[in-house]
Amino acid sequence: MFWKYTQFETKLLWHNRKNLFIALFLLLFYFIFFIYYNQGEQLTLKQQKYEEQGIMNATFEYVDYLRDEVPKVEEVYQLLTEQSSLINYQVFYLGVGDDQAQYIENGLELNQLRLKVHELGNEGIPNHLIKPKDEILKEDAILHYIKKHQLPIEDDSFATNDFFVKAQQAMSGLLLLVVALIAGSELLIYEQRHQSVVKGFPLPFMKKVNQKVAVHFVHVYSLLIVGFFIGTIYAASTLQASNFSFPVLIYVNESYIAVSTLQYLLYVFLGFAIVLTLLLYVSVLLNMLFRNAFANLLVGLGIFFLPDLLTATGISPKILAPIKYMDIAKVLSGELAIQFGNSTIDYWHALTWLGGLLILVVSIIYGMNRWTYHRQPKDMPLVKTF
Amino acid sequence: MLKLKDVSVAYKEKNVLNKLNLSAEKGEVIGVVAPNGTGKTTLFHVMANFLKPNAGTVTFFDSIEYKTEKDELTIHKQLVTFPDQGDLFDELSGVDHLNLYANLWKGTTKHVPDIIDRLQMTNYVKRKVKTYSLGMRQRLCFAMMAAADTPIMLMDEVMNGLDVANVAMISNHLLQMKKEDKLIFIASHLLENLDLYADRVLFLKDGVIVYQEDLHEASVDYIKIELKPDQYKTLCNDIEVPEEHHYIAKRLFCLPLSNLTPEEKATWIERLLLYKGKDLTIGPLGTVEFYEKYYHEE
Repeated sequence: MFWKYTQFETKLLWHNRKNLFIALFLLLFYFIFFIYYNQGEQLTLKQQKYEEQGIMNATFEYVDYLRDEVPKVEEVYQLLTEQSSLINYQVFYLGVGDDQAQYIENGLELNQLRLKVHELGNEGIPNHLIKPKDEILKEDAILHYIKKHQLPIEDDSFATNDFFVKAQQAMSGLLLLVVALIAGSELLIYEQRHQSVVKGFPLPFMKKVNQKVAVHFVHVYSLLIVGFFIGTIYAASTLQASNFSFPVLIYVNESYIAVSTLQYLLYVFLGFAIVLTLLLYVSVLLNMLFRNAFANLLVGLGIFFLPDLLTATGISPKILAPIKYMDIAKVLSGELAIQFGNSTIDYWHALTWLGGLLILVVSIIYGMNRWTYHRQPKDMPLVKTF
Repeated sequence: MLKLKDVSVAYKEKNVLNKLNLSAEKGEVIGVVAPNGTGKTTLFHVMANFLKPNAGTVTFFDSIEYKTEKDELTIHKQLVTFPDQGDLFDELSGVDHLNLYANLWKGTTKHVPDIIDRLQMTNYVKRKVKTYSLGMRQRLCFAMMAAADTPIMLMDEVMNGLDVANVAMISNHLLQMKKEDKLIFIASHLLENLDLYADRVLFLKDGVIVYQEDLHEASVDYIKIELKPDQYKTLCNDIEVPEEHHYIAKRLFCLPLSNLTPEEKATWIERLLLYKGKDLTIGPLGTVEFYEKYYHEE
């Protein structure tokens, strides 16, 4: 019976033009994003190193001016000199020297020196020229990963993998929220337009809700994956690079670690699955509370932006941070940990919270349905809506 | 099979159902008659638990009430309500609707082709519902109930939008369902049609059942003739009219034959034949007459 009901819900889903638009959007998103991404010029490793040289020279001008007066600045100056030398060697190893292993060793040493400068409080260096500590740690983790897995330091696959990360960052958070809220906007509401047909179905409410969520989840999630594959195939063929073992940095256990792109994508898609399930159940709850498809979108967006709005008004919204865990790419990049000043916000922390919220929302839906059977009418008869 | 006890539904000052009591057994076809807005649909909604009444109980199969979702499911597996044609899914076909109801209640669609055939829907049932006429939609709604094939059926305005041929076809189908021992409630404005298949007809007024017409009971025959109020007044002034007579809706004069001698009967017929141009009929009071009696007399 439930399978037949699922078939019916699936049929309804495909006859709803809104869902066809969602399908089209998800199928084309990664493909179009790649075209957009590919228009931007990517800096080669050598160009990046030249840029670092430029920053280093600018830093010297400031530090040189102060080093005679402040002993600590003198110490910084010496460290910067060593750093400058290492960068120049790196440029050499990328070019004429052609020694990848040495390039990495120099890079690792360079990062240690940068961290030492941080320990000295970046004395004498103007703020805009300070390389943030988290960036140093990220670069260090990447170099360690490349060294461990003996990957080439310059490969077109870097660009493909960078595209994956950027594309998932674009999809994660607001975009996925909007897609899920639109997909779930009429999960129960549409029944109000067909009340006399569907109201007396001999199906338990929760099973009906679960079937609806499952059908819409499969619809959105499968299209998300298919859309990603379309984008991947196009990107890999355009850049002629399809190696998924290149490193991506993620924030775990209060530090950055490098994982393969494949592993990163698994993390992201698992996160998307939980976020999507949560949002669909939230849609059911909002449908029950407001009985309006637009309210689903507006209230859903309102809740998502609530921490930002409170921050803007000067209230610290740390307690609302879990709402933002929906942006799983920002959790993985460590951005949320920095934003909320809470170093424990990492992937598994966020997933645990999202799982907990999911259980809470499902419990509320279950409780509300149970309540309708225990409520006793007083002045007015009680109309059963769903 | 079904028992309503002291069911009350009230919105602020308006009592839609007022301590209504009713019991029904399997195999009964029960007509529910009342003008629009007097509680027929509310009564059906209470029976299906789409509306929880302010007071009273609805009991199925002697012991099951709508107390928990489990109870509701047990009842809903045995009960189907008539869908409103405006609620059908325009983008789906008739077959989709029939298969849905058949699968959800019967767990199979084997009987669906037979229903389609018997209700002469073959030529359109595979098309999308949005292409259907009013009558086609109404037939589909009835077919959906037939596909569900539950022991209890609540049919609200089942004959709406149907032409004479379709009314006859659905009436035949209802007679067939009656033979299958189903308990069927039918709210309809086609009063004469109800007499064809209903076992009894309930007249709802002011939230209560003001009269139950038992169509199997040996009924009293009446001489019936249409009289204008002034003609009726003259008649009453000129002759002593038996007290048991009815003057329904200031239109229909009905005189029971049961207490009249053969001579008196002949005299009355001769007397009434003087009203030329009026049809004089002899027979029991039908649903139409009762309807007029209860709803058109004010």
